[in-house]
Amino acid sequence: MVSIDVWNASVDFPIFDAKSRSLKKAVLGKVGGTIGTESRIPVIEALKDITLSLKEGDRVALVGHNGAGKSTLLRLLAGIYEPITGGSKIVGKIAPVFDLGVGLDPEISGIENIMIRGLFLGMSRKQMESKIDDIAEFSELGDFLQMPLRAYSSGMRVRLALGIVTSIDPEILILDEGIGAVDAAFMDKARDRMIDLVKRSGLLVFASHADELLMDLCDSAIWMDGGRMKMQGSLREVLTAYKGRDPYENLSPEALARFGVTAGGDK
Amino acid sequence: MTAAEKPLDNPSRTFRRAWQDIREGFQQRDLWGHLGWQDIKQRYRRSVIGPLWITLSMAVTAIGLGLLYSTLFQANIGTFLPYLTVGFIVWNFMLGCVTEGTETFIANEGLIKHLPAPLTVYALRTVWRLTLMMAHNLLVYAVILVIFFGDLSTTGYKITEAGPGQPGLDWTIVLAVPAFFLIALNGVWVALLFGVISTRYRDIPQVITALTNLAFFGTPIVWTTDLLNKIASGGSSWRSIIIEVNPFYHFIQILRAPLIGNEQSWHHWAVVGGITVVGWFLALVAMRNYRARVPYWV
Repeated sequence: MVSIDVWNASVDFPIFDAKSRSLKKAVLGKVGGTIGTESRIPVIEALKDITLSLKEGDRVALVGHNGAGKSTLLRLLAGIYEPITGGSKIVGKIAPVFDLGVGLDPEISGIENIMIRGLFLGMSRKQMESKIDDIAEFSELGDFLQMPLRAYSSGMRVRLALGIVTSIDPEILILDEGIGAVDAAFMDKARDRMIDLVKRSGLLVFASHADELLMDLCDSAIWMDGGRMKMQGSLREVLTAYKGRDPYENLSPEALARFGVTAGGDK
Repeated sequence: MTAAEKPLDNPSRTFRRAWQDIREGFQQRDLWGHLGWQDIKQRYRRSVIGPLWITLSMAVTAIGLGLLYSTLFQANIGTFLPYLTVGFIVWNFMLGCVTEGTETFIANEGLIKHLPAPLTVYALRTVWRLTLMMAHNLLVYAVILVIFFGDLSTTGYKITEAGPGQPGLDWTIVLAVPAFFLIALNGVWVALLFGVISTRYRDIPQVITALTNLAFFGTPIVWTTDLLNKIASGGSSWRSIIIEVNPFYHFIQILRAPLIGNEQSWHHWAVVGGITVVGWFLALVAMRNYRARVPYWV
């Protein structure tokens, strides 16, 4: 049974060298929580009092302004950060894709990166060797897989990263906004695979500013604001509240048909 | 989640979680094995002889220092060179565990922040990389063993004129295997403990770097305890005590003595065993309290 439970979780980053080291680097440039001043070491309160419970089949969108805590929340849900107060419990095999390029080593080849990623995600060498052809075919990278990763464009990196995570049958898929860098044709292909994954036994959490992508992949949403959960509900409700207008109203009939909604009514 | 299993306020700070991290880390052998090997390949990428540079630089250093110090101490090169080479190889491994151990988590910042994995994986990556480097260095030992086998297998040979007769190479060489495992096991706790502390306090790696040269010359590697005992004229003066409180001495001795057929003393094993237990305990405490903080600190 796949699930993520988080209760009363708070995350704050101590900034040990606020003067010499740029805040941006220390907190990945993505967090704009309140800067606490009570202690000698400045602390950025990136997440405050998060309580949520996700279960199998959930496809959750994370929306919010820059610095609202989306990426930090994703890292919390991926089990990378453990909450400072409160707790979290994650059951299932997790496959995260964060800022592209950082988790992958630019100096080694695509094949080697596939191997290392796969091993990190709990596969064995043998299993990964049998997946390489599948990933090569899906990502359409072909001979590029022999090249060091620094020769890749950002779209190619996304293709590689998505190829890996979708081929290893993860139960929890965690995606950050970077995946918007691929072209539409590939996105179609990847979407089918991800939806298929979630249907089989999965759970998806996806942070993005691209409405169409969110509508493609998600059905519910969480609105993050200032490190807190401002709203949780169906994707349409949350997007309407967040954007101040119904995101579906200007879509073409074909798109509406694809998302399975009507312009005026509910799902 | 039912009310019955309503969890602790902060469930991450328990020995159970720390132990789980270590156990799962060891289980992911494919992962740290691959990463450690990748490090070696990466470091010597595009160089013609590749990782053999490790072997070559060790050979040059050992021969140079061996010639110099055997002349200075008027020792027989046939026994002194193997002594110095093996000491130096073991020292390099331990030094690596301490200095690269402090960088274990700092160097893996990208991976730690992007992929969930037990922290122990990174400590094992470091120790495995050093083990592979040591394996390359052992080629130098093998060559030296072939050349000086006659000197080393003579019962009663002396490293320096002042020293006692040594038993010479015999079956006890197999003790080198458990000795190495014990040293490597210590390497893991060093990487975990020093890694956690250094991630929080970035001065620690500098402090350790500053002390390593002193530790090298303070440990009997290029000199022997025979020489010191001669100066101390046999008595248990403060000079001999200084040697005994140097943990590196005991670590070097358990591995060097079998490899060159020296007199082995069980007290070295006892000291190393004690350090292993205490060290792992400290590492466990550090992992319990600060394991979950490392991703925030890197």
